[in-house]
Amino acid sequence: MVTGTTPMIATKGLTKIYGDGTEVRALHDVSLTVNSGEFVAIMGPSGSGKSTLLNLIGTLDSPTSGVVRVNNVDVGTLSGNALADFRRQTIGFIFQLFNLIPTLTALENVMLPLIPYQRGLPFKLQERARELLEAVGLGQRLSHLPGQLSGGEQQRVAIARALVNEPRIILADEPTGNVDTKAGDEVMELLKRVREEWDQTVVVVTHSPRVAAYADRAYFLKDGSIVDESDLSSDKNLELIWKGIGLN
Amino acid sequence: MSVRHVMLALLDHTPAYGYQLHGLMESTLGDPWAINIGQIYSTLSRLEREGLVRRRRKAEAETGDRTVYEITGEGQTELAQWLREPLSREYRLRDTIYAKLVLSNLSGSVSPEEVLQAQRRLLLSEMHELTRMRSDADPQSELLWILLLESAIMHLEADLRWLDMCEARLEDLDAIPPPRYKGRPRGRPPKAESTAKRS
Repeated sequence: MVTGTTPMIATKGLTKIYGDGTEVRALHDVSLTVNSGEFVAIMGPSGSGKSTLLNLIGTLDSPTSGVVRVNNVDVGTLSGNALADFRRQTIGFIFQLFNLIPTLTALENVMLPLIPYQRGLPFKLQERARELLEAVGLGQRLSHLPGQLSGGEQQRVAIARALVNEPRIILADEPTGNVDTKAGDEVMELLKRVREEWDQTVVVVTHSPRVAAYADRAYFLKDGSIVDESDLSSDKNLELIWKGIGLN
Repeated sequence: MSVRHVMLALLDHTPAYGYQLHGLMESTLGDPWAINIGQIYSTLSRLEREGLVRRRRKAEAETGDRTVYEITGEGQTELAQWLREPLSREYRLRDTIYAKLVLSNLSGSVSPEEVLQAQRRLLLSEMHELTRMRSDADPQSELLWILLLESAIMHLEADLRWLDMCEARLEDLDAIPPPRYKGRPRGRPPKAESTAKRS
């Protein structure tokens, strides 16, 4: 796949320190770029700062110092409603624990992020939500509650919800962490398809190589810093790769 | 991989002539096992000499008579024996990456971190390629191929998890005392000791 070279996400010198008395340095001087249309994995052991980094990119949290630029906007200059609007229009989130509302149906969960803005929309929200659930293979589960769905199905509802605002960017935090291997593969295949069909930029935080293998590029975090970066889809080592997997 | 056993299994499935076997082998096991047609014929004549396969004339309407090979009872016994035999993988405790990790910790010119990272980059790229191949495969008609890809992916996963584990324990490596050459006693060992050891 050809990816654009314009950075969709760029962080510079990101540092995040929690606490006042006993300070915990969760991130230290992290600079990275994710180009438009790229699929990037952020890997590292638990406690390495991956989720903190994703939350800063997703504007769910603000850095102690450093800059986050998303879609050419310095998000540090936004606050209040402007920040909420920007987030809603630009970013779709997928979480490890799905974060669905248990008392709402699959269809309502997908509609939820845009219900307050329904009047101004150029499309019928319910129609859109139905189409998205069909696209993720849940056309027969529209009126099911989350509790009536398997883990893999719940995560697919969450993916449909993340897509409802047609975001440029999908941020996923351990999206397969709470489902079995087969359902996890389906979730990742779906994310891959979504990215190809809607030309989105996808950033996945994971400790799992199986999940990271879907990405084009990976950053490795350790103790809050980037320690390595790897281009997974490069043709540079193709001969070595083929030899490694038994093809010549 | 034992080409002779692959051919015995294919002939157990159906009698075939050399060129057919060549095609069957590729469509059954895929590219990684592709071999040249010459090797097929040389293996067939060896199997025939050993009494594991035999030739038979087969009349064909379009192409006239052909010589096909079929498996013998002895061949079936040999095949069954091979299939039942468990297989040990070779490298386990002779892993070169392990050696590199130990030696980098010793030499100081390249850090163990660097060794682990370089290896992780390659393995993750291999996994990316295998994942792409698995996505491209048809879940129904190419199920066997998918199972093979999964085997490779899962072994890579294990290798990558081991690299993560080593990385997490790198600091502890510093606490390991460097190896010292203890020297060997020169000359012939005292007689009493050597007989004691042997008994």
